[in-house]
Amino acid sequence: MERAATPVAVLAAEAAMPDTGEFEALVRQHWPSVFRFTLGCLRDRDAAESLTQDCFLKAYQARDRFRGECSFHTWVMQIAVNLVRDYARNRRLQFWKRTRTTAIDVTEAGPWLADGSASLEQQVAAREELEAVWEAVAGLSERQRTVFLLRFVEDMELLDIVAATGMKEGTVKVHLFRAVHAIRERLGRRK
Amino acid sequence: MKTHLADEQISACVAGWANSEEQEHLAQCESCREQVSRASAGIALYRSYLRKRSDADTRSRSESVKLDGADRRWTTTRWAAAVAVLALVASVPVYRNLRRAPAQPAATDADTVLLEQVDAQVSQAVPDAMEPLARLMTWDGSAAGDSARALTTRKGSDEKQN
Repeated sequence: MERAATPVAVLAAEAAMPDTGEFEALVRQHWPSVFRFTLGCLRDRDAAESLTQDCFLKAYQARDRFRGECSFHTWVMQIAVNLVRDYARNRRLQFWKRTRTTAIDVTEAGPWLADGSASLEQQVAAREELEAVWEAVAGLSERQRTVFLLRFVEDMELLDIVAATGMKEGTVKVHLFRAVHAIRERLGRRK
Repeated sequence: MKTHLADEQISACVAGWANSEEQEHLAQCESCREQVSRASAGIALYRSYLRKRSDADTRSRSESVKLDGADRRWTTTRWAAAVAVLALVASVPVYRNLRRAPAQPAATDADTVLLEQVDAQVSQAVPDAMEPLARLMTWDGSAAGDSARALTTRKGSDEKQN
């Protein structure tokens, strides 16, 4: 699979590593992507924001080690994947802290699904469908969810997902297929 | 037509990683196409929601950062104003004292007179108690002559009385 050199990759490769000003520009550019990924993984706004900050802090501290072998986006997503993994591990150990106050409630997704042209019935159907996918994604294993989000929300190509997760190509495919299967099953149950 | 696509193949189609054979089948099989499009629609809904949601959170975050900055500036301004008002209030007594300053010369004159008296006393050759004796023992002799004359006059008057 061909990997297109993104403008960020070119920028990063040219700069060998961006200085502070350029790094700030990269943070602004990639913040939404990292935040979206962590939000999808954790389903908690505060935790996602905290992890996104950690991610860019780590990226800044390790900027000398960035050689431009992959795009800056892939590199920073790799850091995010590791942080999410560590966070999930710690949460498992700290099971008594599982009360989340800023967790996303998908039943309040109305404003984000609002479509002026859709009838009320269609809006209700869309919300129910979203809830089904949301629950299915929540029920995925951490690796399945990571691969699912990188592919379907972040539009990353197979080799970029391989680079970001450190998994083998076949493993990435297996996790993604299982994730899609779980979602299809959940949607099928609704039918 | 061959049998329908397997579960993994459907997933590959949903992921956009279908090979040419699977794509060909999909083009011909409505049932498989329907399954792919149904899963794709659900995932697209999820993707759209998550993107809009995170974009809104990112926007509100950057706005709150801006507001924080504005709040900090406003707080600084308020502190500066408070300090200025305090300085103004504190300067009022000083100003009033400055305005009263012309009334002081009288006291200053009294001090000067006192100091002059002290200076005069300090510069005396002998203490007050020894002043008569000092008058008797002046070096130019005039005082002593006067004293002697006074003594002689007193002796003469004593003899006359006797």
